[in-house]
Amino acid sequence: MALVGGIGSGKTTELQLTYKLLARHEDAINIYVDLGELTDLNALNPGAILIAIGRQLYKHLSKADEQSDQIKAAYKKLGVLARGETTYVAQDQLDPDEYFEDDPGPSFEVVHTPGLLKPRFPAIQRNVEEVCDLVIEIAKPLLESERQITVLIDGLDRLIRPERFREFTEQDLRALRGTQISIIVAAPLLLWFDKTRFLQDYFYDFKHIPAAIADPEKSDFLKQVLVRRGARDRDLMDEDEISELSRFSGGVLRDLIALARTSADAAYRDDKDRISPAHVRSAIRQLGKRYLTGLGKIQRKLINHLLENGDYSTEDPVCREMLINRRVLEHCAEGRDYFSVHPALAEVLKESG
Amino acid sequence: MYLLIHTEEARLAIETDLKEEVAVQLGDTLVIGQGEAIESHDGGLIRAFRIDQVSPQLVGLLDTHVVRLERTGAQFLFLTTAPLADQLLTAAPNFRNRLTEVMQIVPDDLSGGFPR
Repeated sequence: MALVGGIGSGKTTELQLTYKLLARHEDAINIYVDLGELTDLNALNPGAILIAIGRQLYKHLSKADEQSDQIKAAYKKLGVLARGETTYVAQDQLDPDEYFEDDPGPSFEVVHTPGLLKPRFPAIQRNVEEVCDLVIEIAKPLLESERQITVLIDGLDRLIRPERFREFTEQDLRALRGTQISIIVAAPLLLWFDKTRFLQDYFYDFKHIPAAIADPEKSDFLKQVLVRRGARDRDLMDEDEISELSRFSGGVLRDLIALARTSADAAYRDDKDRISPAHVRSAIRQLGKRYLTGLGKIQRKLINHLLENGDYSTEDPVCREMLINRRVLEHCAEGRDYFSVHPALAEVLKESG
Repeated sequence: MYLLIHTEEARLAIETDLKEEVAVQLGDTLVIGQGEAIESHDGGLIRAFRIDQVSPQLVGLLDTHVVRLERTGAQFLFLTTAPLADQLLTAAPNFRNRLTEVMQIVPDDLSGGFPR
């Protein structure tokens, strides 16, 4: 399953909540992998996710299973593949397949005859297959005892460009198909607007998590969040300030918290014990200016178009970029996607004329 | 995590101000490193980095590691100029999103209100 959403939309929170929920089941083995913690995402290779899964699964084995020769060997091999190794091989003992992989050598020419039947999915790389076999070896005792294995993968959504995400889905995640290991992965927002059938082809299910979790005009949810976090304690702010913060957050929880904190900072600098409308206005302006930074002529034109006509095309790369940066917010109502300019940005643009 | 924007001419004065502020307020030494060295720079509750060019390497580094930096619990200060901040914020959306604030910083006014 893929959880598709923008930055700050709450994918990590959803994964963590799912992890907690699954932990209620005694037969469940749940593994949370934050790839950003384990490896440098910029230098991630196909097979790396599988290695992380295999090493985590090993920790769930019983002492007896850990002692199995095949499992010990598989675990050790995963360690070698993770760290890499240097070996010295005599020329006549070189594995020709390995040798050909990058360089056919001086006495060979590569002749490639394309197949007539174009495969639906790209072939799984040999090293990925090897890693997958090792993971299955480690998982075997758990699966045989009918434990339900779920791996929750976070961090891959930080690879904003979908090509990189595709690469890992096509290799690591597809290799696990049919293994009875379930995967839930956080995916970058751009995949939601992808015109190919990538999500349908590679995932049994996918869920879109918009950055705006509630419509501040229609729901009290955001106001309740502020109240629960102490907005009314010691008369810190009035209902009007709470409403303004909620409205100008655009429904984005992270922006709501940022606005509340910046308002409190402004009150503190002003040597006041409570947040006034002026402090809220300065916080809104500050957030709006953050969204304004780096906004060029083309972006302004597209934003004006959206403000005036409600038109917004996700096929335009600049429009997609503004969705990633949350200058434009995506909403979903009755199965229909629609867009709005972030209210804090709209406010600053209005002020600047 | 703060992105502090300054003019090129004010850089030296601002770095000196920040170092003195950290020394006076926290009794600590602030080392200002290069942005590219963020991975190797550890220790300290406040860590400051100078960004004087925006390369794909730096963008990749900040954008994919920002969550990890945040989890260290340290305060990060990134010092740069307005044009570089524009470039960086456009190219690194994860980084942008995790910033507590983007602020303009000017050197301390030592004139005491009198004309210089």
